[in-house]
Amino acid sequence: MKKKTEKKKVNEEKTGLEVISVKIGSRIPATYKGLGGTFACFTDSCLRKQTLPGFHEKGVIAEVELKDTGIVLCLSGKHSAIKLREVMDIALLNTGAYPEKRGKAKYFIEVKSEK
Amino acid sequence: MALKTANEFLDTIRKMKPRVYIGGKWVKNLLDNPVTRSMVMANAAMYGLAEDPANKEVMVASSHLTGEPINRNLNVARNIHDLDMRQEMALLTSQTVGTCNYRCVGCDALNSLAATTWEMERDLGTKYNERFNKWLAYAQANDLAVSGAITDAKGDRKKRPTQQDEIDAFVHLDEKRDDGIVVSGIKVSQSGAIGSHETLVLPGGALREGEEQFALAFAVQNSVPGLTYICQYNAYSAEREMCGDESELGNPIYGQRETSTMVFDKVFIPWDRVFLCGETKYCGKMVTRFAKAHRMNCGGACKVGFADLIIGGAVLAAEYIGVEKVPHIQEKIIEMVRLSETSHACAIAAAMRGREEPKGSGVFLPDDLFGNAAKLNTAHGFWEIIKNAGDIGGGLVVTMPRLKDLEDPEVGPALKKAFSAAAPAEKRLKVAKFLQHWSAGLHGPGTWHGAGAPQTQRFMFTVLTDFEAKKKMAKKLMGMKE
Repeated sequence: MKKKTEKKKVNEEKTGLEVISVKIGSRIPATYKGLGGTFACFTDSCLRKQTLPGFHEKGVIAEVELKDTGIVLCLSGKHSAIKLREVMDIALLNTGAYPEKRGKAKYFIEVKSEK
Repeated sequence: MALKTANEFLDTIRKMKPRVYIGGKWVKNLLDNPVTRSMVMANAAMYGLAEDPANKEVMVASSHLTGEPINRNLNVARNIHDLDMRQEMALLTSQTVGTCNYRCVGCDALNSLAATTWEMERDLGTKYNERFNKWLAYAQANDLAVSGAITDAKGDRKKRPTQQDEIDAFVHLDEKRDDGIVVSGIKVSQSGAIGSHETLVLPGGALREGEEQFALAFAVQNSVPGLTYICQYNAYSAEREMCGDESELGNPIYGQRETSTMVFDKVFIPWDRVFLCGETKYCGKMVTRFAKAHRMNCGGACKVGFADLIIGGAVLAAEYIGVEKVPHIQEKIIEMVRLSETSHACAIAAAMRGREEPKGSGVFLPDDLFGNAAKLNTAHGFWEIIKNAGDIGGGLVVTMPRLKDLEDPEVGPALKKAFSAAAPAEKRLKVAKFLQHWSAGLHGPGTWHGAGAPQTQRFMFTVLTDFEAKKKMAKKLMGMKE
């Protein structure tokens, strides 16, 4: 099993793809795969443009913080986990990352809503 | 999954949220606005064509990177057959939708990038080709709709990019970072980017030393923050918005040709998507190779498909008023066929005389002279074709009432009397509206300028033609000494 994971990782590096996991609460509800630089694109959007890809207007993000190989986002307003997942699904798709079941995540995005 | 269905494509587009402005409004959902929807539906039709086994040879290719079946719009031509099928795809797609295959510019741009990034890697040791192949494999694996943006706003044509009062007249580098680049500037007349997943951006023309900040080629996702699309807006856009029933229109589902002005405002592009950054020497080659492919496809074969539709409409219009056997009508229809098939022959010749460029790259590009001949012949011929269509269709093409008016209890009976001929009024008006779409629509200037205005092909003729050789053979036959 371990061998397979390593092989997969090597292949992803060779193909230039990167896997991103999205955590909502303590769970990892979704994994996405995009071309190399997808995570950089996503964080640039949050930090410099102060918005999520596909949303354009400012004010969607209440707080944002870089953490190791990930980013922690707090979205403005109060949202259920399902709503947060919908929002992230749109944001990731609009960054060029598509849902992926397999693959070891190189980056993570942790999302929560304002209390 | 390497081939998406039309419905799967539409599912992805429903989630795409590009920043799109049209006719005074911001578009929240591309499928809700009748004008942007027509563009998206044309793109969906490209996926639909690839689903049909009857079109497999034309619409489906094998990826040279993975061996998987891919939509030909994402294929790099590796031989003459690929080039021939590429121009046949241009024909089939335009016959099917009567407007742009909005994946066409992207296809020709990626062929240029495959050739030029390979050359740069060979000459300069850059990693652009490796990056490009990774991007292409990703685009093929997800069967992405990829458009292409070439034409910069350009500003004052007497001035070079660095001399412009407004630097945004050309897409340019704002900042180089460890993780990528930041770009700004404006590309115009961009076909179909709004309803695509990604756009390949190439330099607008050859550049010189000192103009490095404008030497850029990259792939950008369509809804990346900082990118805004301002759509064209004209009488056809207004009509589509106001009509209430799109079946009334000349091209009910797919509409006119939809373009936008793309405004880049400090857009971040990660390095994995950058395929040229500062190498001015290769910009001219990149654009020329794009033009080689695009003149055969968009300039030549695509418009033959339009001509097929127009000729079909003109013959129907003639039959509906009982003039199909009148000699001058037949003569005009034959003239339309002559012009159209000459362009098709040039496109086929461009494919058949294609060759590997650069040698060793494995990328095949069409013959430049025949490709330019296809486009130039089309540019002039298309005006003649739509003129003849307007002639055969008669004044009704522009004086007709709405189709719906035939159903009006007060005016309908009079209109039916007025327009019934060898066919019912409904059929006459329907075909008149179809010919209006072509002869009084946007396709005339669009065909003239698309793939480069004719002056560029005339210039290429002067470059590509060996006039000395021609003089020599004439002198030899005349027995003229040096």
